[in-house]
Amino acid sequence: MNETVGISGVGLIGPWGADLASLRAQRWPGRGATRTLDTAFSVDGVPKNDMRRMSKLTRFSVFAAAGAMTQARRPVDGTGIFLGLTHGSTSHLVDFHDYLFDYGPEMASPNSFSNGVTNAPLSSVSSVLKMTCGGTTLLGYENNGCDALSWGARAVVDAHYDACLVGSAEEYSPHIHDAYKACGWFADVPPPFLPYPSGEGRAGVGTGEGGAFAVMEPLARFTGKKPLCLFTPIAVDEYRGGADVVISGAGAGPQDEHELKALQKLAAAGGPRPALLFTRPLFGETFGLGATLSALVACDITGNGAVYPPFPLHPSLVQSFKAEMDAPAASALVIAAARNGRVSAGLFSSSGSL
Amino acid sequence: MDTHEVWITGMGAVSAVGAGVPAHLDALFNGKTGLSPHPFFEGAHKTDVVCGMVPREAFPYSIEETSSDRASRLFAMACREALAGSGVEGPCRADIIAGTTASNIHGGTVYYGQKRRGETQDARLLSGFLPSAVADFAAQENLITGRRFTLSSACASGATAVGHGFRMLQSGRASMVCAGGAEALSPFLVAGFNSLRLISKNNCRPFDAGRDGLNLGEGAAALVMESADAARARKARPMAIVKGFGDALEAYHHTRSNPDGSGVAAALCRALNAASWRARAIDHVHLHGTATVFNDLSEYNALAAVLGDRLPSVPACSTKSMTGHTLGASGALSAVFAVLSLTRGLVPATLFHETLDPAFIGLSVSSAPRATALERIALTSLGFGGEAACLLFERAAA
Repeated sequence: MNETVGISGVGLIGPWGADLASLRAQRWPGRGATRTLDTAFSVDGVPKNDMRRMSKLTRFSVFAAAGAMTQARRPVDGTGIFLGLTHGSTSHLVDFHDYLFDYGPEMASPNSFSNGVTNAPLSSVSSVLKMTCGGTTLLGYENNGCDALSWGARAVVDAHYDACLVGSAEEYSPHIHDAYKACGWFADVPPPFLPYPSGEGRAGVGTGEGGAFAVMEPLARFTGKKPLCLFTPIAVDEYRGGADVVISGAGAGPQDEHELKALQKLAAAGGPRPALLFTRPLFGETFGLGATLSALVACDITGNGAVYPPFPLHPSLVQSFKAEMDAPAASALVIAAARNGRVSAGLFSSSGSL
Repeated sequence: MDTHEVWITGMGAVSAVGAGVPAHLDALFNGKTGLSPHPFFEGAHKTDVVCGMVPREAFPYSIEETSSDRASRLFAMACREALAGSGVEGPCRADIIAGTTASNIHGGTVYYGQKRRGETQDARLLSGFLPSAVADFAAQENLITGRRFTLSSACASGATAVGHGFRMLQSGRASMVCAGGAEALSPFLVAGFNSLRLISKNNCRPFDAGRDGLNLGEGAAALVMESADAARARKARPMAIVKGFGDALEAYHHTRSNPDGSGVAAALCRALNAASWRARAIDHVHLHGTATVFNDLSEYNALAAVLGDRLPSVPACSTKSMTGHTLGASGALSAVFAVLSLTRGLVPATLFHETLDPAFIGLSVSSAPRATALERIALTSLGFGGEAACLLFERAAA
């Protein structure tokens, strides 16, 4: 079954900026500190009061989704939505609990509750962009963004939706950050190489935040225009080599031992030696969003001919992978392992052959 | 796209009416409710809330004792029963899809309370911030080795999980899926729905002229669904056939359903289209029916628009007055009730419904169960954010 779709638009926002060029320009390899976006931002057509009521997570979602739909230049009719989340709107949940603890249930904030429920970001994307087709919020760990992309591609190929807006978002929470640090993860110390499983010591790239979306359409829709790039869901076990670049989700977090095993399995698949890139040093550990941002980096590489900076490889991988891109790439495999050992992947390729 | 017929071969359920499908069948036949008052909050804020809590004899743990994993455990229970009912023993390569609204949020509440008081925090409670834990836990407990997904479409989560499982099987991307929903009662949810002024102080009365809100509930339900080919190969029998799924977003309001019913109507029409059914094929509609003013109005307008002049001849029901509104579990629990209705030829009672809201002209709702032959049932489910889902089931040949 051919599950390839075209990517016709992307949108993103984070501490680095709001486009791929800004993300690409980051030269922070190894930086460990948490990075957050502290400046206000707006979305065309959305009143400031409405934006203020949204959680930061929801604002990221709305901004990135609007950017992707604008670039795709397609009508909202028939466009479904899949949104991947790991932690939800923690800031609104904390606000709700503060009132609940301090003043009792009668004073708990209805705004914090309704904006703190898990599907609030998708609901806001739907409301702001007037999208009524359908969709859902996928909840998962570090591989969640990849899963959402696969769900989107299959929904398009099976014609459940004419097109699909797929993305992820994450907001920085000091409570989540502290909890993970207590577990020995994200120690704000740059790792010497990646993947960096917990047995290697205490390190981490620091947690981050932001939002990222892509619009997927069936290949038959691209007559007279080319997509930015092509996307095909793939299982790591089915990969037989051939990608010019592999983009890993390692970040010196709980997923790294599984990332390392997955990369070692890819190395055994044979084929030409691909370059191995790590995106977490660019934008921090953003959990499920990290896989979506990696996917947008893959779009940039295969669609725009972009080249991204290197990061040192785990010693066991240096024979199997090139440490940096030495030329533009036509194909990029994104892999994302989760803390529970599940590994998701997607193959991005240039639309030149379309 | 080649499509595969999708059979339901196993079901599991746990709710305020008890643990297991037989307890739900008993509630269906005998019009039993699991609603009763339970105390929430402490000190001056302590109050009794009418809700559907899973009884201690079915699940012998308090909310506090299961703060980090109550929803996960309930879902694991439902999956266990569903797998056993389908004849699956030991490890299986099924995929699992769980739907939930708030997952194990009470773990997050306790964790944050510890942090505020400067106490040592229990890292296990972190799962309260990780809503995806539900599918993971149920998969581990039941040795389910396929892919694991947790999703949230608010109160439409359970129906949406079943719907996406159906789509995976229909397209041939899976051969067996265990899908459903789970929700656990917690002070967070009670305070949240109270803040929106949606909770009734009495037993809820869906579609009644005097309805004044919902009763929260908890529980879980799971369906084992298989492609007919895979089920036949292992000599499994269908309990019912899943024929269609449709989803929609209203783009209207964070918490309130659009009173014009456009979201539910769109989801129902998409499901009918997926099943290649006309609206007149539907014998019975199992409604979301939370007994809030706007939910019931929205569903009525959707049914009136889609069924037209057939509306009075299509019996409708809500089982929220039996189980309470179990949020992310409710669509899956409704699916279990709907399959029982198909197999037993029984339209469930809408308990505590006395006087039909005069705005609902032609809606056929009864407070007593009605025996009638049923071939095809539609199920509707709505959630915060205008998420709507519809499932269509057909009776399996004897």
